[in-house]
Amino acid sequence: MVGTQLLREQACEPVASDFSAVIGRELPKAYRVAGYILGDATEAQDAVAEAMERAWTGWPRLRNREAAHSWYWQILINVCRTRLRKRRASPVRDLDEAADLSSEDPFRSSLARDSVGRALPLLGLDHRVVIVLRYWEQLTVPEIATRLGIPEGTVKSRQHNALETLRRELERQEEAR
Amino acid sequence: MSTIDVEARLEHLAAASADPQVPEALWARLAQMSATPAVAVKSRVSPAPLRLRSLGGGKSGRRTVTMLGLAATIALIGGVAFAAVGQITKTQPTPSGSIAPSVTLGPWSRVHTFSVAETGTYFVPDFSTGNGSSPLRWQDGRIVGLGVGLNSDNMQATCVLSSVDGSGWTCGELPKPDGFDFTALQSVSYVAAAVRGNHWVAVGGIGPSTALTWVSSDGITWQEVKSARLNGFSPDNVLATADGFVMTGMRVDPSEAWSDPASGPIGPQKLTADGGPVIWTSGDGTSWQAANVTGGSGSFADAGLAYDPVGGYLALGQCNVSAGWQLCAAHSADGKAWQAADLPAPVEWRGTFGLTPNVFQKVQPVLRDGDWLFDLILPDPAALRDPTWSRYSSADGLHWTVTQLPAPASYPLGAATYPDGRGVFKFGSWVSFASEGTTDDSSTSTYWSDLGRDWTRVSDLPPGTAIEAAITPTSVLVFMLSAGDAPTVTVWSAALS
Repeated sequence: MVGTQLLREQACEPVASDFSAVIGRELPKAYRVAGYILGDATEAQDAVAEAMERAWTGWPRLRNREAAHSWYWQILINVCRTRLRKRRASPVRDLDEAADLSSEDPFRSSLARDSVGRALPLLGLDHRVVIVLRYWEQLTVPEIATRLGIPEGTVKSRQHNALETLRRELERQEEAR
Repeated sequence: MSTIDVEARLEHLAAASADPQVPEALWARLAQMSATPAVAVKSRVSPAPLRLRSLGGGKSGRRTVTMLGLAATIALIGGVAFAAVGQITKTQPTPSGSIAPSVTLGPWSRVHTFSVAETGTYFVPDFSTGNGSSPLRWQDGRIVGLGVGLNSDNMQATCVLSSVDGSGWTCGELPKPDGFDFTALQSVSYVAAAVRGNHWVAVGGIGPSTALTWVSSDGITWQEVKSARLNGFSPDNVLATADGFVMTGMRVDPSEAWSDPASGPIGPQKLTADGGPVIWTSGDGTSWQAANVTGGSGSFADAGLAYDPVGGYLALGQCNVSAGWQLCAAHSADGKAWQAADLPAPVEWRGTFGLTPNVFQKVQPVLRDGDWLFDLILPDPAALRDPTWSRYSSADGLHWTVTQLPAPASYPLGAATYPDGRGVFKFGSWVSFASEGTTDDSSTSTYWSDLGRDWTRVSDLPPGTAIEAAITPTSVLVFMLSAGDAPTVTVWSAALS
């Protein structure tokens, strides 16, 4: 059995040639990105675990191991996208309840600090992914395009639309006060 | 306020955000995987952009699917697992020469090839819509399901795929709904398609709150029926009945929204299943009428729908009740008057469905020897133990019992497929099934079981990796993915007797 400590050490090696090293190296970032996309630590853990399972089952058929890092990220983003889509079927939960839980959930409490974070659920799934990668992971537009496998122009338009949606919502909130 | 101000607030918020440690359970799971030979299991990864050339139809929307390219098409399918590279030694069932299969499969013959296309319009079966069971369903003398791809505008598009025997496929694209606004953050979902005679119906939605219906007389040319839109409803499935169609799904309460007490609603409308089941019926898809449903706790998410001439109609799904999400069913003799009931929890179930909705996979109930049957194979939400396999059975579709079957060793195995209720076909290796004995057999084969406990190998699979299967009354079709620089998907057929 490979110990978890060894996995962490493998994760720090510059060249990842096997599954545990590749996934281990990405695990902290993956958990953070999933957390801020989903806004929930439990769901983030589930999503990362599910993405690991999928990557593990697909690993034998991955011919280009050099692309494993991008491949895993696309799996994770797809998992998050599916979970956000499925969330519409979750029980109704308002921010009062979220506030009660915020002290226990680092992602939710971080997002709740500013109304711009609390407004992220307004964004469409793809737009939210772009916002998290751009501002929480500080990726450039070309880097986001590569990670998501979409044209740079699409990234730009999603970012623009997302910012515009947030701007309108923040203005609406200010007017309501 | 400008978008620059918004960016500044996002940057500030992100910089001040927590960077939580990875939970130990994730490291432990990774360690567990690292200690196990890699096994390729059919899972629920959305298809990568796949490419099918549009041929011979063009303007009319008719598309003969001829070529399919692919990067990493690992589709969900119920019950399909397969061994990958390397020697595999794992617990497995005893090869059961003592059990004589009551079904036989003839030799496999290749009947169709999807291959890589360089240009044009691309469609592939939309495995994601199956949600645990095959998206390709035998109905009214043909295999029908949704296909997904990119159209000439590089926008995601969906078509209805159809084939009589797997050897030739048509693909009629579903047009974007009238009034759809790409720039308003709207999204269109495509859920399912059904056919009865020359009446074809596909359902989907705009966002979570408006159900859409498309109709066609030939499965090739489709149009959305704007007058059939249903506000406050999100469909999950559609099925042809003896004299029309049945649609299940969840109601949407526009008044329910994520709300901030200081600033009012800030989130999208939320679905609510409270208020009783929602089932719609239609003669031809151009208008819908609410069915009479008695009993039950809520409407359906991830619904499975089935019809049997003897057993009638059965709908399954998650329902939302005050105590949390649970399984529920509704049964009807005629498809119009329904009675609903709540179901017992799966074996060893330790969570609630709402917390991990992805683990509930769409199931396809069947009638066997007078009893409705379906299986739920649920992975552990923390992915730290093997899945559990619950077998549900009911004589009337309303009163259900649950028994536990041996858990599959692979994750996730998904739902089983019953051809005409006679048994279960699965495609994979012995590593897919947990029982006694060991072997290093990593070859992929077809297995059959009448009750899901003892398995018999009935046929080796064609070359490649099984990514999909469809059952017809006379044959089994498997979709095999080839390796290599130009991967292809071939469709193979074996006679079922």
